[in-house]
Amino acid sequence: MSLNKAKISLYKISEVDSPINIDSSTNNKRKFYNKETTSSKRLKTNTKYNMKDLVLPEFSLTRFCYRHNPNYHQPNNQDFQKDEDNLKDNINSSLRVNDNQKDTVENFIKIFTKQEGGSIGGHDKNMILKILMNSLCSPQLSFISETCQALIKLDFISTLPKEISLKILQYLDCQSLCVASQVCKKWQMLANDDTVWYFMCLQHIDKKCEKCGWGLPLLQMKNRRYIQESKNSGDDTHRRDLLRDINIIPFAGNSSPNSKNITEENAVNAGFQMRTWKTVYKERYSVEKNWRTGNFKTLNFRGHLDSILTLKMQFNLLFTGSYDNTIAIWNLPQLIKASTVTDKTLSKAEKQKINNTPQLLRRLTGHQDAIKAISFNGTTLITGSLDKTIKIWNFQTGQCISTYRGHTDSVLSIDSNKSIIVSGSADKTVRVWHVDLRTCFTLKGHSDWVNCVKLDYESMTCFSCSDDHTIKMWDIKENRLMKTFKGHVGQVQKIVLLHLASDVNLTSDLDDCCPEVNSNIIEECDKVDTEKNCDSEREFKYPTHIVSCSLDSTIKIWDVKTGRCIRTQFGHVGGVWDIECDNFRIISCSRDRYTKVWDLQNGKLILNFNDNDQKQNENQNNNPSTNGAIKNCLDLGDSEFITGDDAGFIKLYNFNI
Amino acid sequence: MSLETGNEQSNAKIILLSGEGIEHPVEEELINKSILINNLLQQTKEAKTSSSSTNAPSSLIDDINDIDDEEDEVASNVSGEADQENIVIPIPNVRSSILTKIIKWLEHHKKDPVISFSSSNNTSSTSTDDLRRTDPLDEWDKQFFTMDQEMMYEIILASNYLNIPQLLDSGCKMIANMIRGKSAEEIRQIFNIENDFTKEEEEAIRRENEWAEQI
Repeated sequence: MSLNKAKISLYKISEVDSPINIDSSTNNKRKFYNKETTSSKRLKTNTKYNMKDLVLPEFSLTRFCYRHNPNYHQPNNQDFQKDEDNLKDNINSSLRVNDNQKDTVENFIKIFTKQEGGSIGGHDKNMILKILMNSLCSPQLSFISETCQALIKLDFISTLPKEISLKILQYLDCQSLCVASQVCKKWQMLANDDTVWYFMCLQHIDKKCEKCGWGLPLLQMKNRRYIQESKNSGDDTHRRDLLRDINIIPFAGNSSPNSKNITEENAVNAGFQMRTWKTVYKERYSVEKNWRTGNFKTLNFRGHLDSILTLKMQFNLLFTGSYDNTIAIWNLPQLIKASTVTDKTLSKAEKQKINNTPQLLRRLTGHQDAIKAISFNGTTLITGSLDKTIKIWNFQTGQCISTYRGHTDSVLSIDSNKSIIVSGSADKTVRVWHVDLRTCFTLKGHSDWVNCVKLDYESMTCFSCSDDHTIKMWDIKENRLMKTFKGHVGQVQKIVLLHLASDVNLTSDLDDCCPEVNSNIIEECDKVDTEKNCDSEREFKYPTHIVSCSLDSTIKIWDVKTGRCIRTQFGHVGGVWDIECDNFRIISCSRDRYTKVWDLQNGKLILNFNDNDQKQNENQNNNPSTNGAIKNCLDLGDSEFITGDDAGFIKLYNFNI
Repeated sequence: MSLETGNEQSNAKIILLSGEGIEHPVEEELINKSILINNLLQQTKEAKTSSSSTNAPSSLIDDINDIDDEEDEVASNVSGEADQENIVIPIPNVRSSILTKIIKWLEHHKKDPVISFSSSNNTSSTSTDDLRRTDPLDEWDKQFFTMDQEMMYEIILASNYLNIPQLLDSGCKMIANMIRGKSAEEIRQIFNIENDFTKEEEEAIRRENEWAEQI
């Protein structure tokens, strides 16, 4: 059968002038589903030839095959033709055949390679080739296969429709994308396309990508995140909003005009310019890379004459509270960005000087004893002191606006949002101050000092941890205890609330937990679960996890819903004084003089700092007195963290270099 | 041409007609993965039920059947007499060999959970998109796509045309896998691409992108 067919095809070749219809042999098998009216039919018949030309390409979906598509090979077309001609000339001159054969061969090639009008159909070409190849010997076949290897390759990215090319590129990681942009001009254009990088940003910024393990910080958006944190961070539209806000540049300085952008519309409406998403990505990638490789610069200076008990970064400023009864406000050039000061006209020494000079903006005095807690509510500063009072400040003017009295012992911790202030005290109580209503509720339950309180405004809950080794969750609407988290065997010093998206998988070591402890918790859970049922619509807004540190030298992560400790991190050999964490990291400082950086997701230790390390000593030659002082407190930014120690020294680790 | 004989007896209801005019019978549930054909079938069904007497075909069928010839009359007669059940859908711009491959893929992925069409049609929602993006390519698909680049190219184009998102995804992932982790020179070799940068340009671009180099 196939042979018969081949004969027919060959026969047709000799009649080159009559156009060959590849369908002629099979068209009787065609069945068409719908009937057409005669009028439309006539119309179609008139245009029949054109239609055939357009919709019956020999190659799927295109009229030309990849190699002969003039769109793909425009610049090379001439060369291509030349090559072809050369080859033909070669055949003419070097073929050792007689004239008669030569003519036949030439004719055959002419017919076979004819491109336009009356060319041989792909199907027939295949037939002819089959016959030709059947007659070949192995060396010739291997020649064909070798030649084909190179010829058959095709450039997907440049020739596929743009949307498909971009789709392919969206599956790549950051490194591969950057390599792809170096391949050729067309690839560069596509690999730098804004939509591709937008998806990269969407996938990575403020969220750890499960696949590649990279998550990028928000950088200047950090403060905003804290304000918005309680919103469901896994929500898609929320992430888009977040990204849009990142890219809206408050200053037009280093922006580049950006033609296409998904959120461009919004930005233009708001009258802002956008940067390319690749720039946005790059900026964050560098910082994250420094975090991972431990590439940082330190700044060490004495802030107080006595030990520093608390510090907080806010509005690019540093606020420190100390045993010397004062609060100091510092302007650190590093907090803005190292590069802003890298003016080329300045000498290295001058640059260093600018970079290393923290400015003391103001010292707030008024508390009668040490300041143990600093918190912000919008732009107002709230401090808690060992003098049993809470003070509200306008830190820009240095004015103390009001003083709250009520606690019967030292105020150890403060948190606030909107019109609520919560405070934890050494008098074993938590107080909830409703500023607007001028009322105050006292939450009793802890049997020892309350070291840290955290307010979750959205869910109207409050969390506290105490020297009695427990963490408690309170409903501040009804002022009742909701849950107790037991597991620590030492005083719990600090807690941090996390709102993690449901797709974040924290490595758990539940099996290692002591079963006795578990059973206690389960009892507690059952009780709470029934309670939760009645207000289940609020349930999803609760923080998902709590991170806590204790003087039992461990850091624990708790699942708020089940009340279980899902992970215990060992590593410190002394009590952990303070921790802080964001979506990627936990940092902790301990009595053992080590400051550690952990991966939040898998609990692995990333960086470990000790003042006795060689690296630190280089920076500290002029300040040997700091060596060995215990770090009391710390705060974490997206590209830096700061510690404060017993001797009054402040140390900044900056990863944005 | 041997294709039509094998499956004829099974409950094949849809016959796909390739560019060469070869019939490829497929089950409706298989080809429903193609959003184009699914929509087409929905529309014809609606058209049938609403007005069986009039011959008002949907615009989509019109487009696809644009290549009608004189034998249309004959064809409709044939389909009218012989197999009322069978619906013939011409896919003139896809070659038979590609169609065979696609059907093979559809058969293997028969039992896959259907990703709702509405979400994949809707460009504003990325949640499913994101989900699919992070899914690794399954082993069978990897095997399936071990073919020459030309065929892969045509399958991707055809799956784009027929709107089979999962197949298109797999194809794109496959190509992404070919690119991932390679150097620029390796990529050029794999895809036979000419380096059209000058030395200076190349150096500049390299410097521009060196931030992303592996730690």
